[in-house]
Amino acid sequence: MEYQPEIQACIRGERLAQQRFYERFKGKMFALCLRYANSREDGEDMLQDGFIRVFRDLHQYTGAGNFEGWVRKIFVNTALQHLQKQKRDLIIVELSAYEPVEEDAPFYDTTQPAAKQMIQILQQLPPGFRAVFNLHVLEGYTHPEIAEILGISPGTSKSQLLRAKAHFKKLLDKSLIGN
Amino acid sequence: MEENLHQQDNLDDFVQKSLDGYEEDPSPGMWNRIEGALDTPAVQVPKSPGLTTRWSGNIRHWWSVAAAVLFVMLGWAGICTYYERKIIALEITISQSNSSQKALSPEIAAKVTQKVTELMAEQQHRGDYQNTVPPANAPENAVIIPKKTQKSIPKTGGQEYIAKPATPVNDRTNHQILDAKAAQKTINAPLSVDAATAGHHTAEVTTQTINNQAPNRQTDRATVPALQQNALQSNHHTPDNDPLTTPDNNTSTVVATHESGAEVTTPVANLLQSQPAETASKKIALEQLPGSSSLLQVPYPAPSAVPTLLPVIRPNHSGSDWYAGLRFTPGFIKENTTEKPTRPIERPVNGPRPARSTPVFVNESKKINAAAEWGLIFGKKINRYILLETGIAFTNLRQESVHQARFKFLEGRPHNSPGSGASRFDFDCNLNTYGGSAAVSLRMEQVDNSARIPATEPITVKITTNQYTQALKVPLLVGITFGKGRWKGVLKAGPEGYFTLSNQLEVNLLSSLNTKFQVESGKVPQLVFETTRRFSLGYRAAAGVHYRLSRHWSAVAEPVISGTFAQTDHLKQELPGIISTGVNLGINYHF
Repeated sequence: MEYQPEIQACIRGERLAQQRFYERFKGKMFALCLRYANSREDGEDMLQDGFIRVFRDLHQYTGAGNFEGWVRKIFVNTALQHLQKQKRDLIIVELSAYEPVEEDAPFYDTTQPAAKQMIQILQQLPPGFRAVFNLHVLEGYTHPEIAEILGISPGTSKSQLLRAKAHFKKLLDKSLIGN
Repeated sequence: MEENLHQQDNLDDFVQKSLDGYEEDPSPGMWNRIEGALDTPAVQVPKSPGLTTRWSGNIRHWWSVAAAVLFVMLGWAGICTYYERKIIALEITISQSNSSQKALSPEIAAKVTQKVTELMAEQQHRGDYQNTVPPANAPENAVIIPKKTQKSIPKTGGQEYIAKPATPVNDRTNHQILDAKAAQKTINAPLSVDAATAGHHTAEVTTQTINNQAPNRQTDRATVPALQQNALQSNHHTPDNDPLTTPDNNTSTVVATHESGAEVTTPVANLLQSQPAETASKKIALEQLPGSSSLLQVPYPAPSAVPTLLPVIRPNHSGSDWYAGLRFTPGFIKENTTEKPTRPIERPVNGPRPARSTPVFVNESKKINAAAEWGLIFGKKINRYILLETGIAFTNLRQESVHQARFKFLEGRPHNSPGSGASRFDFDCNLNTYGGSAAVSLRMEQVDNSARIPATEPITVKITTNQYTQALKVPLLVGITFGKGRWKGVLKAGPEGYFTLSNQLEVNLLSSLNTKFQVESGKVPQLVFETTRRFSLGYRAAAGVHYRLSRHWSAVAEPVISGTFAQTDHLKQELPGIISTGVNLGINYHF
C-alpha cells in the first residue's frame, strides 16, 4: 500500500509523520470541508475535527479499498456531523444591536477561480440543501444512501435535491447578472 | 464561466468539473491547532450518529423514553396489585375477627335455634302458604311474602283496620318484596289510627321509600282486627331496644305476616340474615315472639349452624378507587445557581486555547421566570388515607438568565483579521445552565489601540441568554388524604422523571463592563451548546385540597414545588438543577 509506512508511523503517534500526512491531504480535505461549511472558519473546524478523527481511527483502516477514499469518508462524516450539530444545537445569534459587517469576499468574484466561486455559492445554500447536493452531485451517493445517512426518506432526498439545484441555479444566475 | 454554464445542460457535470481537483490550503496555523488538540487528553465525546447510524440515535432515544414510561407503569401496577392483595387480606382478617367476637352468645343462639325449629314446625303444620322462591330481582336482604296472605283479611267485631304496608316492591310474580331498609323503616314508621271512621278504625302504616328500587303499585289493603292492634304495635322493635338487633343498619328485617292477614315487621330476622348463601325461604310461625302470633317467612341459615350476628365489616373505603384528572400548573422557575464553580472542560470553539489561558466558568444571577405546565394524572386510593398518583405533564420553559464572564487580558486569544486596525481578542467561557453547557467565544476589541494593557487587566462581559426548553414530566407520587365530607386535604410527594424534548439557548445581549475593551461590533458570539442529558431525575411535592363536586368529580388546588437535581451534560460537565413552584389547578374524575 502506498501510505502504509506513513500510516504505521501515524498510528505510533509520531508527530512528524502526522504532519506529513496532514500536508499531503490538507488541500483536498479542506476543499471538501468548505463545500459543507457555512464559512471558512467553519470549514477549518471541520478540517481540524476530521484530522483528529483520522489519526484516532487510523488503526481501523484494514487496507481494503482506496485509502484516500477512506479518509474522504471520514471527512464527509465529520462535515455532516457539524451540519447536524448546527441544525440542532449550534445557534449563532445575530445581535440586533450590531450591524452585520461583511468580512468575507464579495459574493461572486470573476477574478477568482471557478471552483472557489462554486464553493461560495454552495455556502449560501441552506444546510439541508447543501448536504444533499454535496452527497449526490459531488460524492456520488444514491438517494437511498443519502436517505440512510441523513435520516430522511428517499423521496425527501429527491425533492430536496431538486430544490437545492433550483436554489443553486438561482444563486448562480444572480451572481452572473451581478457581474 | 457563463459560457461554460450555457454550454452544459447538466448542472451536475458543470459543478463537478468546476470543483474537480480543486484544493485550497487552510490557515497557516492549522497544523498547530490540530497538534494542540492531539496533545490535549481525549475528551469523551458523545457518540454522534454517523453515516450509517444517524437514525439509530433518535430511535434509541425514543426507545429509552418508552422503556422508562413502561417501567413506571409496570411499577405502578405492581404496587397497586400488592396493596390490593394486602387490603383483601385485611378485610378477611377483620371479617373473621368480627365473626369470632360478635357471634351470638350461647344462650341467645340456643333460643334462636329453638325458635326457628318451632317456626318451621308450625309452618309445616299449617301448610296454607305456598313455598316461595326469591325472584331474580329481589334485593339481597329481601323478605318474601306471598300476596295471598295479604288478602285474607277477616273481620272481627265489626271493626277493621286497614294497613298499607310501606313501599313494597312488587315483582312480576305473586310476591311482595321489601328490602331490608324499607322493612326497617316500616318498623319505625308511626302508626296512625283514624278513629273517625264509624264502627271501624282504619290505620295506615305510612312509610318512606328509601331503597333505590322504585316502588310499584301497592294498593293492597289489609284489614287488621282491632284486637291485634296492640300486637301490631308491640311488634315494632327498634334496633336500639332489641337486644338481638345488631348495631349495623345494613341488616335485614323480617316482615311477618299476621295470622289475620296484616303485615307486621320485626328486626328479629337480623339474627337470621347473616349467611345469605345458605338461606331458604320458609314459612314460620311467630306466636312465641313478643307481641305477635304471626307467621313468618324468612330466609334463614341451616338450623345446625349458629348464625352470626354481624355481617362482614368492610373498611369505609372500597380500596379500589381509581381516578384520573387534568392539571394546569402556572408557576415560576429558577435555576439552582452553583455559586462555587468548578473548572469546566476544555472545549475550544475556535481552536485550542493558549497555554496561559484558562476557561472561565460562568453561572450566576439567574432570573425568576414564569412557567406553565399541562398534565394528565392517574391515581388510585389504596385505602382511606393513602393514594398513589402518576401521570404525564408537558412543560414549556423560557428562562432568561444574566451571566457575567470575568476574564483577564492574558486569557484572550489574539485574533488578526485583515482590514482591522484594532487589536482583537477572542475570550472563551462556559455558560452552564440547567439545559446544558455552552462553550462561548466572545470577540473583544481594544478601544484604544495605543493603550498598553496589563496582562492581569480584568475584563468583564455581561451576557444575557434565553433558554427554551420543552420537556415531559412523569411523577410517581405517594399521598396522604385526610378530612371528611366534601373537603379533603392532600399531601403528596415523590420522584419525577424529566424527559427533555427540545432545548435551545440564545445569546441576546452582550455588553462589556470594561472601558478599555468592548464587544466587537457586528461580530456575533460563537456558541457551541451541549445539551443536558435527555433524562434526568427530579422531585415533586404538593399539599392542597380536593373539593368533591359530585359523586364522580372533584376540584383540585394544590400548591406544588418541583425540581431537578444537579445533572451533567454529555461531557460530564456538572450543571445546575432547576426548581419551580406553582399551583396545581384541575379536576379529577373518580371512577
